[in-house]
Amino acid sequence: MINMNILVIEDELLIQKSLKKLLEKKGATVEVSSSGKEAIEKILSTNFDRIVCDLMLQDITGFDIIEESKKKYTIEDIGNIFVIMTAYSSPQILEKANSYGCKVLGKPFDNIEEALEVFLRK
Amino acid sequence: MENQGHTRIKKAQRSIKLYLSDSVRGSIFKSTPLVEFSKSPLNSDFSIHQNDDLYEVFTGGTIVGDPVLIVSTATNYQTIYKLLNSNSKLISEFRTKRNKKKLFKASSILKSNSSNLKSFIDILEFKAYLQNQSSKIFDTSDIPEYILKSKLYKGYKSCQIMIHEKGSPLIGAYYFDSSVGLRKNEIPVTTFSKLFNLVKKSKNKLFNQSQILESDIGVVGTFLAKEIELKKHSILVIISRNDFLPPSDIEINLFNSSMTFVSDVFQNILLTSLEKRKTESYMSFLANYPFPLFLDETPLNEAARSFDLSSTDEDEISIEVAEKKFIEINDSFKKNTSDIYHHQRVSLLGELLNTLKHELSNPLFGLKMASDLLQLEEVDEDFSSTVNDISINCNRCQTIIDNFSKLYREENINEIFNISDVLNETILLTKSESKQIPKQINFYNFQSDEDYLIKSNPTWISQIIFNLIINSCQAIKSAGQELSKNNIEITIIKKLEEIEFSVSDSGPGIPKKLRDQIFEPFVTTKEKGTGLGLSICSNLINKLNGKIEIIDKDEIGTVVVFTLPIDD
Repeated sequence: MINMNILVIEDELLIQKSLKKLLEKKGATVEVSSSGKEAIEKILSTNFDRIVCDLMLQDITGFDIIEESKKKYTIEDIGNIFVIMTAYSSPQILEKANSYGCKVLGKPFDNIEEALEVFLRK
Repeated sequence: MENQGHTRIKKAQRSIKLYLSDSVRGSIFKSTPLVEFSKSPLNSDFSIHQNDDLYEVFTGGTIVGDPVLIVSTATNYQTIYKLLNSNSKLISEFRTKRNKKKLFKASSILKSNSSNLKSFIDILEFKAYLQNQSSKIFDTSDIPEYILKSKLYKGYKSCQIMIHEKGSPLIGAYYFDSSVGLRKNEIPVTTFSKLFNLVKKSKNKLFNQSQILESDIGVVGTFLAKEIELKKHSILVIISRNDFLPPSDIEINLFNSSMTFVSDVFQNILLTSLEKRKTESYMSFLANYPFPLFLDETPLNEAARSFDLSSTDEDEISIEVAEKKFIEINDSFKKNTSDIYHHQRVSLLGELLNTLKHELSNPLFGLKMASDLLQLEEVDEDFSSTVNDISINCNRCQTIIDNFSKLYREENINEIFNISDVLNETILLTKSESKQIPKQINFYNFQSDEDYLIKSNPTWISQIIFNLIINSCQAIKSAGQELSKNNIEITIIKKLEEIEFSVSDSGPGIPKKLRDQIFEPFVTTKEKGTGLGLSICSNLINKLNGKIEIIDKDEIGTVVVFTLPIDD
């Protein structure tokens, strides 16, 4: 079992709930957030080992959340902590994600098990 | 000078005396009431000599000095007569018909002429030159360059033209310097009006920069400026030798009269470019208009043809030009129509499908994950298989959504793909239209798996096949027979240098009279068709360097065959 503290930021509630359950089954402790603002508050107040972040949220984008997180984390930390999920995987988005050193997973995942592995990699 | 004032009118009443030198072979010049031939160069008004491929026209029988007119021997003799004649002819017209238009021309010539036949012919030549070039002048910003290139303004170094389209808030200023090239900028109306009035009030049109704010004018040194007032435009033409020497009176005169004289050419150029801009904005309107439009070009065309062509030569020319332009625009319009409609269809549907894709993908993905999560539970087989069904169907929905949005992707891509896969995916997309109609796919001469891999644009090929299958389905349905007794057959044959696709159906076929034009936009056999499907197909196949045709079938039905080159 993997002992990790994970934050899932996702506004599609079914995905959020399923992902939380799947990760919990692997042993992780999971917190969820549906909005960018709520997520930023949690990030600044709690220490997470991994932040799984959807790119297109209702209020702000995942990149905005990363920018805000720079207040707390170094650039190196950000590349290790954040994993981005997106349904719009254009070259520009991939490039920007790469500039933060983050992994990007396209939605829907081709293989859920592999995706979970990425989320849980230390 | 010999013909001043009253002499000029007298001259108009007699015909021109022309002497032809021995070098002018044959009798291509014929005498008319306006032209008689003199036997000696001494008694003639003009003498014409041939020099290789050129006719050189001298005044008064002399061949010393510069000829007043040089034209190629290919030039119609009538043109030469007209050039020589126009002086007296226009004056006589001026006297007989007090028509406003004629008055304008004749008076400008009277002013311009000022007894100097040489400059008069120069001006005529200048006008003929501009008229010739006007077909090449697509953009009004080119005018200064063309003016400087003319023989009349050979010695000038820079020219600026400011064009105010009445009602427009900004004025285009185009400045051409023979050493610097073209410079464009925009000036406000107030500046333009100030300049325009200044030039208008000036009698000799001669300026230097101290009189006009230097920043307003691109030209250097002493310059000539002329204002021209047209129907829809006000123009300022400024021309300079880039020095500070004042030009001679003759030059000033020449400038003034030549600019007035060519104002109708400017008018034509500006109106043509205005038309062009209008057409462009119509085109972009059409391109963005979300519904199909029907265009009937015939009434307009007929109107253009039934135009009264009986007035003067110049009117004729301008109508000819206008008609030519119209036909050109029409032709290019026809050619572009398929492109426009394809673009329109693809961008609109593409946008819709993209939204749909993203809006549906998220909840579908949620469903898929939820069902996967349920499968992890240890439950009985029945439950597990039902959850598995949910998961599989989520995948199917996702594939259909992906394929549909791929069908309307607007990309000019060239990639290797499996033709069999694309075909099957495409047929899946036609399902709602084609259900109950038996469909058959045949591959011929595809030996290895590798043969199915082709390099082309899978999106376009999918669009073409999609269109053809939908057409076949609709044709079959229109006949009202039992659907299951019909069929659609798709055959793909791999040949040496191309792949041949054919889609055949058992529908009512295309009437013979429409067969030749079925690939043109708006030609349709369907009651409610737009007539765009096949024209879009043909357009796409052209872009893929292939060919498309309708094959005659003895019995009923239609076979559409298209080929694609095999690209290594």
